[in-house]
Amino acid sequence: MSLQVFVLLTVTGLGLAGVYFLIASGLSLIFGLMDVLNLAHGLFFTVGSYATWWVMTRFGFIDSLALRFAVAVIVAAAFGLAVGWITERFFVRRFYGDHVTQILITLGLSLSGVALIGGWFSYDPQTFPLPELFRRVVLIAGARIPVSRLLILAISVVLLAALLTFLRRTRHGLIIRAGVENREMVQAMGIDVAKSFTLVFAIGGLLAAIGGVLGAVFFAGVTPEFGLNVLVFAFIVVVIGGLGSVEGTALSAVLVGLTQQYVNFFAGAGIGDLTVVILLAATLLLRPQGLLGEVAR
Amino acid sequence: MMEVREDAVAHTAPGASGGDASGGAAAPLLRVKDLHVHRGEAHILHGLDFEVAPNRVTALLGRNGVGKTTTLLALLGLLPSKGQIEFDGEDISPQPTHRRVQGGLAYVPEDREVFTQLTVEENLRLAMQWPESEGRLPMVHDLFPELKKRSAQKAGSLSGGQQQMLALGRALLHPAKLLLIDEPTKGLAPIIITEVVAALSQATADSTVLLVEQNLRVAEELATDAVVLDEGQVAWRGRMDAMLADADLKQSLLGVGRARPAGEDGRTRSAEGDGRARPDEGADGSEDTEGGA
Repeated sequence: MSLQVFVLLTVTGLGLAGVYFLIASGLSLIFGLMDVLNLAHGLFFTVGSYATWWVMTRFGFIDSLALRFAVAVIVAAAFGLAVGWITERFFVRRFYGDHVTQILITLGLSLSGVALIGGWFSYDPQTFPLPELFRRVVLIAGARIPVSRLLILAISVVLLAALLTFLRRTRHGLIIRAGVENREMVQAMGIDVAKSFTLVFAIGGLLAAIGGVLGAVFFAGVTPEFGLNVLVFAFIVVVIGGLGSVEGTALSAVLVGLTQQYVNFFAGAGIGDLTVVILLAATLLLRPQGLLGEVAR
Repeated sequence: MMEVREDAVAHTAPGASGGDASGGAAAPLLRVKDLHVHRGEAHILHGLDFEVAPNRVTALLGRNGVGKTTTLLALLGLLPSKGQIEFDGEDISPQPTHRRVQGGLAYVPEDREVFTQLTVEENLRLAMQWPESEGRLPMVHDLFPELKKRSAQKAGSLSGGQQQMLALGRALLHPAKLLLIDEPTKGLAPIIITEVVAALSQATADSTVLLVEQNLRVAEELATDAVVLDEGQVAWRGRMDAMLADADLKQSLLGVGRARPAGEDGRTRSAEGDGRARPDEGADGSEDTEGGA
């Protein structure tokens, strides 16, 4: 293989890893802290991608596409935050400890979200104009890399750093990290953990929605089932990384994104996806707690 | 079914002449009435009634599996219960756990339950959420200098004794009215037990404590009052020294053997082992402490 192809595949794989990380990190924290398997998380992602499409196609009054894209990121983040908050506050909160109901209710939210978006707009894939800058290419080691790929990577890394800073440097972050390990003991220290539950859902919604923005750029379009498709891989990333571990999720996202890209290119489309499932099986067999997880759940 | 022994219940009588400054006259800080707890199908607590007097240490005793830890968890609201829990004049039983703790309970759990992924400093910082906490930190560091030395270390890498100190220190940052301490010496080496007990007696002087302790010798050293559970009920309550003096009582409720003659007392200060509830030691035999400090 030529070096150019390898570099292109690597940058693309890392971009995909960024998208996976943004959806998987919230999923991992929600499961780690609340034991909730949030099947509505794909919806947060879809909401972000449709917010992008909506702003890019309907906000014609903003001439500059670059500026419009910046607005799209903010609108998507706000929608993601709101949908995450609403999901916890009005749906999930009543059913803590009741796993079957949680799965049913988040699955129901997810499916009705897809139907709502599909019915309102269309089930057909939608495309939207991107800033001219995104389509430019830069040469890295002789490979022509689209700027959009680098941008996806940069935004993902910035959000990873922001999330880690939040978790490590703030009191809310401290409570969340402690709660992921032992929720009852946090309560027994006089801390109202339920407040953190809402916060983690809102943050998870925000990150997934920005993941939706980047995903829409990465796959050059949106469909109502978009989030559901990515959610499958996000779950795999979460399990390989170790439930509740943000660092593990980041590492695992890189592993899964790169594997998918390399194998899909060299062995044929679809084989990469299969390889990822094999990676998941191998993790469950050899290290059930995940790469950086502490305990098997 | 065991009857509560009347002579023991009237515990103010021997106490009043016992030189106990705070006396039994003050209203109890905690009053538990008809406390029932079910865990799954099992009915663990069958209507507990007991009180905890202010400014003293009350030991909650009984054989393994009798419901001591369950009692603490129910008081904290970590297990659902029925009955009345009157704390500082208020029925706290409808409150969620964090509210009860904000109202003045502090908890040192069995098996420490420190946050292993957080550093020592982060564990303490998590507990520093009361206006008084800042002022209490030097006291905790004085009591357990090890915690200051190891502040950047992950709590999971501490020894059992150090984790116990962290669990205690964490609770002491809370200006609580009542400390619930569950088996602080469990699984610790004898020399560490001595250290923990010394720190405990210093930290809990003038505080109100409900202490679960399998090690009778430790309970004797720390507690003035005792509540003994048997088969999910209060079988005896009264003064600790009265209970210890009653060999029949110890035998029937705690299973402490009478095999050791009183004459052995000469060396018992260092022998923790004979204070234990003999028949059911299997679960925590590792901490058996022949030889002592």
